Amino acid sequence: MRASTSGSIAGPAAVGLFFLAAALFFGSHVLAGTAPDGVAGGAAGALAGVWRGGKAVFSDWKFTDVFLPPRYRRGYRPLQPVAYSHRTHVEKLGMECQYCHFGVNKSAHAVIPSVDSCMGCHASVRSDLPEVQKLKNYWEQKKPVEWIPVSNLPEHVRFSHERHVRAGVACYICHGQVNKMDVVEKASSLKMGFCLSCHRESGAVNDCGACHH
Amino acid sequence: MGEKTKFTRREFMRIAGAGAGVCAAGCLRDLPQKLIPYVVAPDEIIPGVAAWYAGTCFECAAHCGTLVRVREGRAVKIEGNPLHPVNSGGLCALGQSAVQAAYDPDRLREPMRRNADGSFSAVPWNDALYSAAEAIARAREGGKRVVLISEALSLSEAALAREFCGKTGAEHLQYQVFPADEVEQAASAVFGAGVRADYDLSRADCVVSFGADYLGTWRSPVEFTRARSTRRAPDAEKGGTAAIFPRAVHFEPRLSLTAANADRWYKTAAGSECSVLGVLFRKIVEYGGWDPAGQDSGRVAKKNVRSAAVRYGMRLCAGDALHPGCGVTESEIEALARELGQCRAPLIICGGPVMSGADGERAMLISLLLNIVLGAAGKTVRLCRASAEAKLPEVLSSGLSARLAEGPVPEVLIVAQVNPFFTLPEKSGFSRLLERVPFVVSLSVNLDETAERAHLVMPLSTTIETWRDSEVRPGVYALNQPAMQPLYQTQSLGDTLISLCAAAPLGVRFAEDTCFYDYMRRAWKERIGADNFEEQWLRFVELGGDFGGTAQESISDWSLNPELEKVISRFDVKNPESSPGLSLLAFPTPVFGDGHGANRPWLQELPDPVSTVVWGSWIEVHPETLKRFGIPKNSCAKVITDGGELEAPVLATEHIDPGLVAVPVGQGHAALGRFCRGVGVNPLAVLGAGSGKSAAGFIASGVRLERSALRQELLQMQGSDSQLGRGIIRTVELAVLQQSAAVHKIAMHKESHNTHDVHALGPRTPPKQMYVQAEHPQYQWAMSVDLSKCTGCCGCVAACYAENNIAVSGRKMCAEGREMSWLRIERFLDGPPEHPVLGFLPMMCQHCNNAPCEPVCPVYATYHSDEGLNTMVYNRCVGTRYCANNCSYKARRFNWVESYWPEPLNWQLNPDVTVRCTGVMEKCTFCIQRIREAENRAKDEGREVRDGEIQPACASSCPAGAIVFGNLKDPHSAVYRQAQLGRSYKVLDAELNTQPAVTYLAKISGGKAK
Repeated sequence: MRASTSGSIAGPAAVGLFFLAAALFFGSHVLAGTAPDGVAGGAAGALAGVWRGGKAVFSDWKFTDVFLPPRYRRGYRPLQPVAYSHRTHVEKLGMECQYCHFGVNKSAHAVIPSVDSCMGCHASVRSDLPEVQKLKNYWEQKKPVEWIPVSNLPEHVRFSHERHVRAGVACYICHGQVNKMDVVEKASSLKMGFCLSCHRESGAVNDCGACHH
Repeated sequence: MGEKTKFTRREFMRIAGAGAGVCAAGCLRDLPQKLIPYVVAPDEIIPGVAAWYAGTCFECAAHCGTLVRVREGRAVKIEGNPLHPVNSGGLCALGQSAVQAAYDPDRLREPMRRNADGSFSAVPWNDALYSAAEAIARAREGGKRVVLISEALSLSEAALAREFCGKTGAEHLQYQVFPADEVEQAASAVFGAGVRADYDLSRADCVVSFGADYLGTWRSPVEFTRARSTRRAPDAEKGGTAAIFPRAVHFEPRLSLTAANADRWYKTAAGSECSVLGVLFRKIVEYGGWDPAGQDSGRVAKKNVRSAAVRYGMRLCAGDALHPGCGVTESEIEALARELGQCRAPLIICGGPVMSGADGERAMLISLLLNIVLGAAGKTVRLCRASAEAKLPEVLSSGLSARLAEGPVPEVLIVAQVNPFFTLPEKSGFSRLLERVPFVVSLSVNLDETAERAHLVMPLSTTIETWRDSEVRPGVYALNQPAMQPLYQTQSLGDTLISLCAAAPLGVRFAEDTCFYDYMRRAWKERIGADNFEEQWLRFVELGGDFGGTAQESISDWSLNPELEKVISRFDVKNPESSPGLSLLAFPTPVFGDGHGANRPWLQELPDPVSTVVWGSWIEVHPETLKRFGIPKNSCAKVITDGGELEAPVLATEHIDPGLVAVPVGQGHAALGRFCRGVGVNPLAVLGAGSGKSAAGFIASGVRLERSALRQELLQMQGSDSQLGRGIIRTVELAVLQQSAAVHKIAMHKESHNTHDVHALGPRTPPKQMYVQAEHPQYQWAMSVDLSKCTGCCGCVAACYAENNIAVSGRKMCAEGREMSWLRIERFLDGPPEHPVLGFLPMMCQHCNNAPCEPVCPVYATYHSDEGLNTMVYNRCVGTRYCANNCSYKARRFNWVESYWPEPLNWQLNPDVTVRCTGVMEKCTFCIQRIREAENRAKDEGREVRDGEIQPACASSCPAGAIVFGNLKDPHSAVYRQAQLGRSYKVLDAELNTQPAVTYLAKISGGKAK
């Protein structure tokens, strides 16, 4: 190799770093799937069909995915304090997203439901389940459930759920098919390129100041 | 270079790439880790949507209406209530800073008891109440004196305090630093008890004021500013310039905000205002301009009253004469007398700390009598029946200590919401008395100077956390609802008094009321009547009060007080002439008021409107006086009075009487909190002892000046007094405006006093452009500022700080010119020193179409948007600061250091605005978050944004209504119409072709007569 013949120290170091970076880059699907402590595991293959039918996997693939903390990466699926299943509630029971996320067409925030809205049903429904018991504990102690955010947006950007929902953007475009998820995971990078590709396609506002202010 | 050391490009790229990746990963900041929902969601709150609650401002005696913006249960912004009869939407800087009082990191959080070594330890509320009640009960049994000192209370709180004193045997003393009832006192002397006089500036054609800084600090500045500006838009009305343009003449020994905005300011010698007023009275009577035959029938009916007023007035001002050095000549007074005589709606105003000298009371009487003589009483001086509040114990000012010393030393002293240890002179003996009281209870928001010396401290809630009410003026009832839950274990004053009574050792109950809310509601129910009370109550809470005004109309059957003869005879003995030596004036500033809000960082950072000083006090002295005492100009001086001495930097200005030194009130705290401790000096401490109600007042005579060893810099934010002919603030003479109303081009003076340099402007046709011109398909946001209305009060600056999360940079950074304000008031002072012409110009980012900042940004962080905004993308900014260097308006601010909001001050931050970090440039955005909100709403409703729907923070708070915002593409919008006016111009546009989006309307000078 050229670097080793030159005999400098910088050369091998650079090559080493490059290969490390390359290994991280190409092996990142493994990293994304393997879990840090407290994060539920899952192989990349199992995610197909959730990420916009597998379409977004390569087009939305970024080098920085590797270097970002796990909670900014796609496929991030933290262990929640209560193992709430969207599949059960939405797919099986047919609940509307807006029943719980009531702010989604009124406010910038979709809103996480309060404990009393869970208890509205679970005071009587399936109270034998261990996860429902956990919820009941929260309710009895009058403590909120401290959920771990999944769809983390990068900083310095303002996103309004209301504007997008009213424009007819379906939830799954960004969040993936949450109705098929037992454990919610981050389905898209939510980075600027991701936003802009859609904004360009649909002819939506393309002004920096629309989101960055 | 040898082969061995060669480092190839490719290798460099590899290392750089990997290094950048590692760096990027290391630079990440983490977002909050948890999403915490409500346990039980409140019905009315949608996270992310702001709620507005109507309230009332209790920062001064004016009691303006407010709207408090609340996000997720936290108050983030206070604005004026447009429906309120007092302020109609405007709010001053002090009022807006009330939100920082709630989030003050040095606030009292729980009751505390003082230990033997002077430190405080927390006690539970029940223990605190028990020990206070026990002390009161013991004192009552022993026949000892219990005294409650409170601020001037209003409506329900006042009734409650009266009842509290009745139940506990306490004596109630009301205390106010600057007496707000001087007009009431004089009105009851002239018109008889139970008559209240209010000044209506909106109807006055000529306002002559003596001492009263009515645009800055006196009585109800926001209301007066709003009333003044309704008449100062000659071209806004349909008839163009036909309407009479009001004229303001002001007499005061120093340049206050009112003096700065008057059409003519006479720098009177300190203590000579009353003689000037007396001479004016005599001249008007001599001139006979009040000829009853020429007036309307209502005036004729009062003929007898007026001749009586002439008789009394002549007696009062018999001995008055103009001294050679009093600042105004005989002929000038004569001209003014003629003008007033011809004027249809004149108004004479008098009052304020300047008039607190020996002649103050006499001047008040003469001014009211002069209003009668001129036929202003009942017209521009509104007379109505006084409200029930007049039955309360009189409000004491500097006479508080004398009143306290009248009886035996109190056994228990309850000090509620006032800080007399700080605001009373050392010489008044309050501090010595405080030491001798065996048990002092302080009810206070912060641990102020008085609370620090109390044995027991009970924390009070701030106004935005409590229910309060007030009778602003007869028939106008204001209500304040809590906009958020109390942050700490605090209570309102009312609740504290009720629970103090209910505590075991006293054990008295307030009928069925367990809390102040019940008490207040019951009082309202009794007043309104029981039928459909609930419905009405909800409406009043929503509106912020009951403005119905059944008793509001002025009375017509007023007459002179039969007792007036007796009152006047007191003044028959001429007061001895005041000594010709130097005297000291302690004056309130529009920013600090009486100084209770000194620990709010915004107020410290806000430049004083006239002197533009921040973070400190100053001594205003005439250069001649400095020379006389041998003090260099840019140094510090020591002011020595009978009551003590103070040291502060000198502000040498020709706009003060040489026989006077003036020091602003509000600074010089030794306690209260971290932001104000040790900043500036407190002139109130060195004044003489007050004897009567307000006799000694705020002027100390026999003052000496000395050189001081203190080395402190005066931080004046305005670099130059003169605009050096650059035409930043332009004036147009009224006569010119009237002649050429239809013509676009109007001669405007670039510098008011420089008549040679006349510049013709108006909306101009843009010259040939080198750059591609921006297109604005739908909206082009623009602003216009009417300099004829703007008084420079700084309300907009405070609003900008509050809305846009602007960091307070502190004394050191301000000294380096690194303040962060997006909006500043340019103050220029041109013209001869005896009659300076002041101009105030709110300067913010001009959102230029040809912005100099845009092409120099290497990373495209700032650019011109389709809507005409000069947008700043923070996360793209790398901090080269090229843009700030290239900005012609100094509108851009760079974050040199990390902004500092000690918990819980950061709870005030507006969640809709990004908090900028170090290394990022920032500037005015035209409140882009409000634009987006309005656009969002318009989109939801399928329409365009309406004119006036978007109100940037500065525009919505402006007491004068000088700032208008809107879409320049819409020819019907107010901003478009203003931009087309003859007196419109753009700052530096003709020279630099920047094409700003901000249009200024030239200041109109002249007034009615010469």
